[in-house]
Amino acid sequence: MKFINKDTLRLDKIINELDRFVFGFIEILEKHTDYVIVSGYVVILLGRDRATDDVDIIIPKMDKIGLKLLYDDLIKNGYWCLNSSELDDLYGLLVSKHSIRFAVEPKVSPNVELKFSKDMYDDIALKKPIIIKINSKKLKTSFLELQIAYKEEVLKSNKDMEDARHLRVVAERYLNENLIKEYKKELRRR
Amino acid sequence: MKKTRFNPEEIRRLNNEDRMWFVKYWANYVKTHSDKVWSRQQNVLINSMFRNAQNSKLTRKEYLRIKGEDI
Repeated sequence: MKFINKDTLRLDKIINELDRFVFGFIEILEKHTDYVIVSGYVVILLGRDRATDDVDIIIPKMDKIGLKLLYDDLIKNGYWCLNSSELDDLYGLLVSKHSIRFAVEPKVSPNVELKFSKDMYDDIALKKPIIIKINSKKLKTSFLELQIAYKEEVLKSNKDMEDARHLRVVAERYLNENLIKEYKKELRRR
Repeated sequence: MKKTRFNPEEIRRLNNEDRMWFVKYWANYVKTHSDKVWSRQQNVLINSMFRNAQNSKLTRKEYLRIKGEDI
């Protein structure tokens, strides 16, 4: 794991089945929209020894036509949506700050949990992603200071505290501790 | 005979401490070994969980109910 700069990281890891699933989904998603991967999969990508059955991805709010194009492309490539096959239902869920899940049909898991950006923190994550280069692939993930602050200040479960600890150790030399404190202060005020 | 007192709170605390100790141990391992070395070990867990997840017989409705997202 090599931090090329504070926004770019190179990984020379052996690809696993979950990575392949994510690469496949992102290849389609990025043809239609910007995105940022957040939460568990990011920590796993950076070496945490746990698994997950869903990959959380935030996208900017899009109109129904944009969602239809994305949806059709995913269906054409063998995915299905677990929530519904009606576009109106899916759009309704997304604009009401819920998520929709896509898996490879007919499986339910692993799946991608897709959400529209819902607040300024999601917007920041989208605007300032970390680019993780893995061999010839690139993934955009939320920057680590925000992930740590969110896990330690908002989520706070054992799993999230452990995720935050893992990130603190592996990225120790590159983290801006003041930024983590700032985000925590902001998150407390919400 | 002396009775052993079962204190669930204390057991939980010790368990959490153990888990956190291992998280730090593993994170340091990741930091001090090449990506190929740690990922080979991590992939044993992830690929096995991935296959289990793929073999799940849950319907999408059942899956969403478990996640608390059924509508």
